[in-house]
Amino acid sequence: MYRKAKLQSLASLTELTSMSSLSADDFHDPATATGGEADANILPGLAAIRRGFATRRAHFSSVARLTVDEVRPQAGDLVLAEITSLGQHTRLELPDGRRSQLYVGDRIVVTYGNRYAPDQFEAEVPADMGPCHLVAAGGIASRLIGKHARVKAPTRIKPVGLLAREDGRALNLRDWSVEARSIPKSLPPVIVVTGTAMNAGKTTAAASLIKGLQYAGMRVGAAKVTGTGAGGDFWQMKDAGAVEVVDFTDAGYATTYQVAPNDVEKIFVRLLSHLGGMHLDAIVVEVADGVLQMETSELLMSSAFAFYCQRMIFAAGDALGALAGAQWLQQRGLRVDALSGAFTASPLAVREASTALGLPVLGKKSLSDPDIAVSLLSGRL
Amino acid sequence: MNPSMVSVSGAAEVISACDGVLAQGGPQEGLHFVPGDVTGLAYFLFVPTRVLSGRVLVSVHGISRNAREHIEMFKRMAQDHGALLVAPCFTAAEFPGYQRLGNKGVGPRADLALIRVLNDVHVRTACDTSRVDLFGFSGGAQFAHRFAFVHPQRVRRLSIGSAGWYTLPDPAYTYPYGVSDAKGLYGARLNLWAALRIRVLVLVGEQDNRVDDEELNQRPMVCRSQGPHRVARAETWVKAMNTRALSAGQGGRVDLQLMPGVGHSFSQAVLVGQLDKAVFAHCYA
Repeated sequence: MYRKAKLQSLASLTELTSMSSLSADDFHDPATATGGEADANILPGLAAIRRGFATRRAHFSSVARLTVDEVRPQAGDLVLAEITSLGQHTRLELPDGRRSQLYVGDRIVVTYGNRYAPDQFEAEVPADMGPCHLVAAGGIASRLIGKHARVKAPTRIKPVGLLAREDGRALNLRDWSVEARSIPKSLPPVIVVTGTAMNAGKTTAAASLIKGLQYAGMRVGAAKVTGTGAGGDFWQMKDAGAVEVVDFTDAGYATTYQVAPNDVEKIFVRLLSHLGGMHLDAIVVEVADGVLQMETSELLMSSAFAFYCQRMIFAAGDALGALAGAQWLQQRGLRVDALSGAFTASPLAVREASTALGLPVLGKKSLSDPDIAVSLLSGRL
Repeated sequence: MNPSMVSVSGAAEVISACDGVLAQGGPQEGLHFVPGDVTGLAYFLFVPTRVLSGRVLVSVHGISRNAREHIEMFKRMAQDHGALLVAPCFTAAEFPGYQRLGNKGVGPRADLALIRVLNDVHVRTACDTSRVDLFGFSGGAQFAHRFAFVHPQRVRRLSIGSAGWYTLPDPAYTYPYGVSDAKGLYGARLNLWAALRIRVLVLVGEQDNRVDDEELNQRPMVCRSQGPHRVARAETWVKAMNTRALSAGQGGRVDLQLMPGVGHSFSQAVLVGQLDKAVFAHCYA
């Protein structure tokens, strides 16, 4: 009953004027606290609000206000939102990786972003602060365009307001991106994992390779250059032994869908420059989605990619996908060094792919073998 | 000038990795050398005056690595049949264990490198290389029959000359002695039943029966199971293959041809034993 009464009072927030301050009562809810930073200057109660993994770099100490009316949200803007109905995503992934159960009426901090997920949703940042959807567990607010037939409707959210500084400027993930540095000449070898589509097995391949290189005694860094801000891939690569893992959210982007090609290339360079200063022996880079996805395709064709990518693993869900994808890359002058992905679970598919392409097929076990991982890294496979 | 393909006659005719088919100004007739910058395996390519059959014969050298000699010895027959010739160059430095396909991490996978070459030949010439005629001599014969076990769908006709020893079609032995457990090939599977459907010609010189040949595998297991010399081992393998095929209800498809007056020499096998004619007769029968 307490919760319900509070919700009613908070509902009026959306009707406030464009600049609004919140009261401590509105936000204070110890049951949902994240343990986030406590700061005397913080907007009262904000630290107790759960926030999505995609917002993990944001420091709430600079939040002073909410902006509400006549605001056109931008990708990367941080938004306080209220759950109005539960759908596909019933949990919010927190910055520490915990997947926290959501309830109708909960308030969360997420970030606006466009969503490209063939197995789930396509969604884009709405032009207004009206009701929209939670389209990724990592905390992405967006408005649904279409969905896969087998997934539920997205969880609905009602934005309360954008988190803003004292001067009213909305806070954006870009405000906390990693520092832009020049890439050192001694950048360690970069191995890129790309694939046919979402769920082709790219992250499994990347994590297995990280493990293999770690077993060989190497310090390995990892980056996910494109995709949607979520922790699944991040934690998988971290757990595999990467000493540093960064993704596009570290470069200030909630997602990379509909980001200009030039900016995607800059994300790639910025993340490499960050890892380049960490005394690593190898860098494993995952490029999300399939080679036909627009941003992925543009990145693979970019001059920075051609310059820095030294080895490439192509992950596929089946043998024909491996054939088509590898040929697609080869036709564009990109050399594939090995195949991997979900199809490696099938010995018959492995046989078909290697016989068609003449490329080594490396499953989880092979990639995490230190001898094979090092051979792949050095081009001796 | 195009940097990745060189006319071996000396004139600097070159084509790039992506340049196209014969009809679009790809490699013209004659002998070309294609470096391994794209495929990881260099090879010689012979294009006949007229590409009549559109078929491709791949000829794999032995440990003397005489790839160009293979082209020279086969090109007259290739010209007559309008067939392309491909002779890969498995260098000792890069492919020390190519006879066993690079088993157990001894160099890169030689079979996969040849497949990349076949795909490259297709890009350059538009000839269908999804299935090719495959020949190998000595160490190349070892490679050729093992390639056929792993990739039977890419072999139309198989000819093997004077192999030192064989992978027996016997699941009781692990690879490379038999066809079970190819862990050393990173999980590749030997497809025995599909390989048994390939028509195979085994050639060996009648005089290739020395037991004191330093290059011959003298391991007791090989001598015991296959015989003391190349003639005996060829007979053993042919019999084993046909027996296995019969038990699978497929009928024997492996023929043995002894070459009178021929020892363990590729050039002698061609010049004296007419190996080139035998191989093409087998391919086009």
